[in-house]
Amino acid sequence: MRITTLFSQITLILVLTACAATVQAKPVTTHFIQGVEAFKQGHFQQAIDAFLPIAESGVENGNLFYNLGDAYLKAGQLGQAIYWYERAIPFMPRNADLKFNLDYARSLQIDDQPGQDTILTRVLFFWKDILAARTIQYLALGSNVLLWLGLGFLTFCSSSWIKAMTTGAMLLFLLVTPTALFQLYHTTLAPQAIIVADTAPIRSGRSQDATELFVLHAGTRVDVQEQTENYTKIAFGKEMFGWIEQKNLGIL
Amino acid sequence: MNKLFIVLICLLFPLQAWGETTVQATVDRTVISPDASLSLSVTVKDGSGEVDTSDIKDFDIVSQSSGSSISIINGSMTRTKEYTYTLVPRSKGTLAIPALPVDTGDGLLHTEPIRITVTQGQSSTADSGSASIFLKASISSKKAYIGQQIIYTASVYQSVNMADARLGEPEFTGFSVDKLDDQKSFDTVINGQSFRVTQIMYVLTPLQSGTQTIGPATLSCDLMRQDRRRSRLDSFFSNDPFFSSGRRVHKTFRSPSLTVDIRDLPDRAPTDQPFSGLIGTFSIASKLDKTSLKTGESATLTITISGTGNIADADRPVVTVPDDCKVYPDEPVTSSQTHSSGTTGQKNFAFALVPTKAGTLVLPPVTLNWFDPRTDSFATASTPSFTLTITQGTGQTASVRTHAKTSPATPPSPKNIKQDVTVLHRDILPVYEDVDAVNNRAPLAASSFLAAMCIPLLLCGCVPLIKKRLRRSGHPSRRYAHKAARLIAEARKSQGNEACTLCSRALIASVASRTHTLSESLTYDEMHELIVRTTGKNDLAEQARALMLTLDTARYGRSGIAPDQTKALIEQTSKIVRELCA
Repeated sequence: MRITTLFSQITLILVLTACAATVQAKPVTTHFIQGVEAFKQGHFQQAIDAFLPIAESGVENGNLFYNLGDAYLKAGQLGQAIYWYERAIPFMPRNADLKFNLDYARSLQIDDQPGQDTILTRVLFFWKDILAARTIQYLALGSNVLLWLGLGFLTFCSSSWIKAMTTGAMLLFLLVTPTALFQLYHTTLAPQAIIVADTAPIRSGRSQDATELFVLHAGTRVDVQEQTENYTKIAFGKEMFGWIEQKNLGIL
Repeated sequence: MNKLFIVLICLLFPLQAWGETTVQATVDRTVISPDASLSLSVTVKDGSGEVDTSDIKDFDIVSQSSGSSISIINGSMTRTKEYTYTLVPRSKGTLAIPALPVDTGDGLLHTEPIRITVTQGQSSTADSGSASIFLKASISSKKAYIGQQIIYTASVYQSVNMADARLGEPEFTGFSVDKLDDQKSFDTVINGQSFRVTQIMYVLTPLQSGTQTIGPATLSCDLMRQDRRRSRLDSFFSNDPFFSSGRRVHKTFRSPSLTVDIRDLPDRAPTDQPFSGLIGTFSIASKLDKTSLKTGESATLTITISGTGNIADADRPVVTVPDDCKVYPDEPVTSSQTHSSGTTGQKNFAFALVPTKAGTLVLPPVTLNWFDPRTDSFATASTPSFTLTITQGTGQTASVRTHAKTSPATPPSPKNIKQDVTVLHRDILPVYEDVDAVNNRAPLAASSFLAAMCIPLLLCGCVPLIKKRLRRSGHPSRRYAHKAARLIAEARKSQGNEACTLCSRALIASVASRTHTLSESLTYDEMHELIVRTTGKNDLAEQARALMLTLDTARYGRSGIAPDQTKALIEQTSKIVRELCA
């Protein structure tokens, strides 16, 4: 009796939470539809104003980021467009539309972008160009669970199909988990960023008086090395370093 | 030692050691024959300078070189820069080498003028070999039209060996020049003397009318002047200037100048045919790959112009077709070879014809009009006309590549004719409208992901504990049976009283596995009763009671127990335990 009552209470809480989420989602959906309509009518800044709050509310979705990239590109803000396209890539790395638009945006970029990934990186972590980051994570977690479950079962009984399942899980684990960790490394420990301003001076220090070392332009991808309140230390290629104002940068 | 010191000082302070800059011009001889050359040396001492030789009008400069030297005499250092020119007279008589200006950087200095007498029969170097080498020049035609190719041939005749031979190309003013890569060599006999002849040819195309003069070609070389005393070894190497004894004598030979009368093309008779720009001997041919096709399909018309002359200059022939046929010309392909008779080859023009209307299509002849210098008149040739039968196609228009490269051997086939896709405009693809875009698809945060990855590992680490707990929380009969088995195993490793104690405990545990209640102190009768009650086996109960008695006797007796007896007791205990725990 007590169990039945507890189950009923949990079900009620879940239903109420879902209803609340639905009620909360309505304005977000409305904003999105308004953004699409504004884009269709050529009001690109209005489209940005509709899409951006959704992203700022914490929604992370490849299609939403793609739309933001489109809106910014049409509005003539190349740096922001490339930034949002780049943010969409981990969500849909094989999306042809995204690749097409990003290539177009990259063709407008002024700076010659040095290569990011080495051949070794591309070979070892090839999953990131095929599967979404979330899918890679779930595959890593699933294979991890299967692997340890299999090992646990093998301590009790020695079954051939458990051995086969465990071997398969281990192979999948070894293939997928390094890519997941690599992506986490880039998002947490070694993030990258996009120059969102049309022209961004890179200085030797964290002030406007510091020597201007070089200038980067919209859309250029840089490595983030250190972040302070208003300035970020970036690396462009292997030999060019400097500080850039935070407002000129969009961290991926 | 003192000299070495001076040299070092001079090297350290070179400028302080030099004096005033002076220039001087000298020649190796002042009287020469018309076919001989002289050497002019301009020496700049204690300085550097550039010599301007543009004032030398009576001589051709066929070669020049320069060198510098530093000399130290009695501690005085002199730096000398010497320019050497090889001059060939342009005419006979008294010629002048004027005062040559030398720009030293600080100002202009001038050399002294030198007078040279050029007389027939005078040769400052009575070289026996000079008569054995001479240079001839010839031209294929002394009269030519503008655009008509003529061949200039420079022939070097030699009956003796020479070294470091260099042929100076004449000045072809008023011509475009195409030098033939391959040079001819053959042997000939003149007045009983054998000569080796080397011919270098140029294809000249006149660019302007009037009398054009082609300057002399020059040959500069080193000849070996034999010493009077010759060794036997010399005779062995007599044909090789490198090994033969004697000294080298530099000689320069010139060919005579030639004049060519260049004429404009005569006026053409009034005609509708455009002039192709070709001058020479030509012919025209045409080929159509098929004569019946459907609308929208394409046929290839190939027109080939071949002959000798300026074939590369042939303009694209005009192909006249009705309005209901589209013409797509390909890039022409030229294949030609230049040899002693001029340039010979062919030029192919391919046209893709795409009829748009069914019926009969007549391709009129294509006419070529060119100038033939052999007859001093314009000539005309035409291709035959073609008739195409056009049937109604499927309505699709053939796609045609307009800038395809075709070779004359493989005219464009309709199957290979494709259209290049060109980018007209550039734009991005539109936004996505699916509202699924507002659903959060964020990947896990690093902390969540790593925590989730660790959970199975922690669970796996708990497996032994779980296993132990499960064993502990299992059924009492199995638990006591396990305990009995474990005690038996320990008894096998022990000896004496300890083994008996373990066996006694194993026996009690096995009884407990039947009663599910462990009692560490059982009397013999209690044990008997429990075994009988739980198993119904009186024999087994008797054996267990007897064994328990024996074990207690062995445990508490003073005499101890032998190893063999211990082993037997363990086996007996094990047997009873197995039966009780079964």
